[in-house]
Amino acid sequence: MNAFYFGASARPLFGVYLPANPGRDRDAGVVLCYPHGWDYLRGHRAFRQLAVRLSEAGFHVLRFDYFGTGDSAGEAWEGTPDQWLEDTATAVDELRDTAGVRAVSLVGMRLGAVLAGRLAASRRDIDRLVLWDPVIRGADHLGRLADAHPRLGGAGELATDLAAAAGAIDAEGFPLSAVACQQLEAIDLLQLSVPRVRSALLVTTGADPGVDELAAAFNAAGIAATARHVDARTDAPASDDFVNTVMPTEVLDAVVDYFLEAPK
Amino acid sequence: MISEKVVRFGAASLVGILSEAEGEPATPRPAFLILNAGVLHRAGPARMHVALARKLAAAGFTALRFDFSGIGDSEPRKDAVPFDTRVVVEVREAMDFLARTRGIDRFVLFGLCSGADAAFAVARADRRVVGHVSLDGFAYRTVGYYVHHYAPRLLRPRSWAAFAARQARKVGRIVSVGAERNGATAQRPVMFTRSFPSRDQAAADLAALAGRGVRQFFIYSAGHGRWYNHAGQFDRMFRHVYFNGGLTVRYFEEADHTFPDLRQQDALTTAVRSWACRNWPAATGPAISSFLAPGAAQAAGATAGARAGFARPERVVAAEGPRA
Repeated sequence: MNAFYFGASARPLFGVYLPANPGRDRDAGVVLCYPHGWDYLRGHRAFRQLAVRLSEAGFHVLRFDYFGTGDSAGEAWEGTPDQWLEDTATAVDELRDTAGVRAVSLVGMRLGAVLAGRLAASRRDIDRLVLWDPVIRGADHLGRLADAHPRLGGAGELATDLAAAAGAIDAEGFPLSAVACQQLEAIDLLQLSVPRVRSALLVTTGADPGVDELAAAFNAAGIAATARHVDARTDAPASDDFVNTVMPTEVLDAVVDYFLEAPK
Repeated sequence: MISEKVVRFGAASLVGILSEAEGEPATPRPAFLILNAGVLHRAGPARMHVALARKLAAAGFTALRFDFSGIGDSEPRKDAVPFDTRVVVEVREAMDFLARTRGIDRFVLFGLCSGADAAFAVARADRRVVGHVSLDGFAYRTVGYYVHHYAPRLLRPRSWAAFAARQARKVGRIVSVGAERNGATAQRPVMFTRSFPSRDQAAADLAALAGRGVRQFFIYSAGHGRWYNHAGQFDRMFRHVYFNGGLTVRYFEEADHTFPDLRQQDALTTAVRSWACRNWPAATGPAISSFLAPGAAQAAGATAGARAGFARPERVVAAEGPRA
């Protein structure tokens, strides 16, 4: 396991690379795209475990923190979905260079699934795609956040050394600036070009309207897409219940099985 | 300007991020070690540890946030050392690493919740620890606690109705717990359980640390309301402990346990930075250095010990300001 900083020196990103099990090396890589906010904290252990399992199964794996999140550079309010899309592209290139692999797939959870889907739609070199509880419409996600955390009114509501942009949301310590909110609001996976991937797995653990429609759109475009519902909790713990966690084993099984079953 | 780099250390090759001010420090100062809160990885809740480390580094302190084995990006240990022992071993490994690579021989530990417990345990065990920041650490209910807890409720009619409803539900709960113990699956796996030392033990440990000249900063939030619910409670909890002028207490009455509100988090990290700069200024004057001299501190502690461990408290207690 190699933990390191990569990317532009002025905006370094933190990443963890796990090489493939030498005895099972499939000459393929997987980049894990974290969700945002408390989803990120709750999903961190699950992603680490997924990386271990994929590595053992023969895949080179890179998981990383977007700009302004985790241990990457940047302040929390500086990150935007467009910036994170660039970071994901940087991570794909980094894995390709580090592991020397040609085929790189993406696994994204929640907002990370949006980034994975957008990147796969904009490039021709993504092999396979896993969307885990994807945010289908950014406006819906933003609406839920705004209901729980009213938008800030302006400079007076933030400490003097924090970005004081009117229209920002402080989602329990994970702020989204007004620009980030605008970008998020414009996201609709159903309106994107279909990702140019060999196959896709859409796995959900809750009621997610739009996922079946998304899978149907992929299939109509000739992509072998499977929508699978797994009865597991990935978001049940409350934001302050960080002592006890639930490991969504059933979801990890589904993802690993997908990568093992798909033709090389 | 600060720099951050990934570091690996210890028998389990623990993963950490080292934050440092660029350039050689003008005055040797202790390094801050920021410990995991529960099973959250080293970034901390709402990235609290990242913000704190960077703020401390900008103020000239070296700060290391790292993951205990099996947490975050650190791999599990291959032996069966229990967690309570493991934290002492692994924090010592962090201290050894900084001693070896940076020549740092004094340390301040920061921890939230179980991290506070770990920080306190290591402070007791290792004399290289010259300070600790305990965020929602051990606490004990006092008479004042119950007054603050019940008085508002006694004045609300709805509280009486809720009380009656709770009594009625107790019968149902006893039945359901019995069913679970008879084979029902647990709702969630418990990774950590937390228990406080006895109040007498805590008092003795506090006095021992004070006797060593350790600076102690206790911070409580409203989210710790099960045990601590008003400014001034700490004084009553440990009114017989002699802190040798090294105690600071702060109560954030509007903050949740993990400080998810960025304004509260900013106030918290600023408070820690201010406390650090006050106790270990960049240029140490004669008054501060004699105050921190181990000999003077130990003499005071020995005096306190001669009086059966306690003396009239004489301590510096920062104003417990609830507002950010």
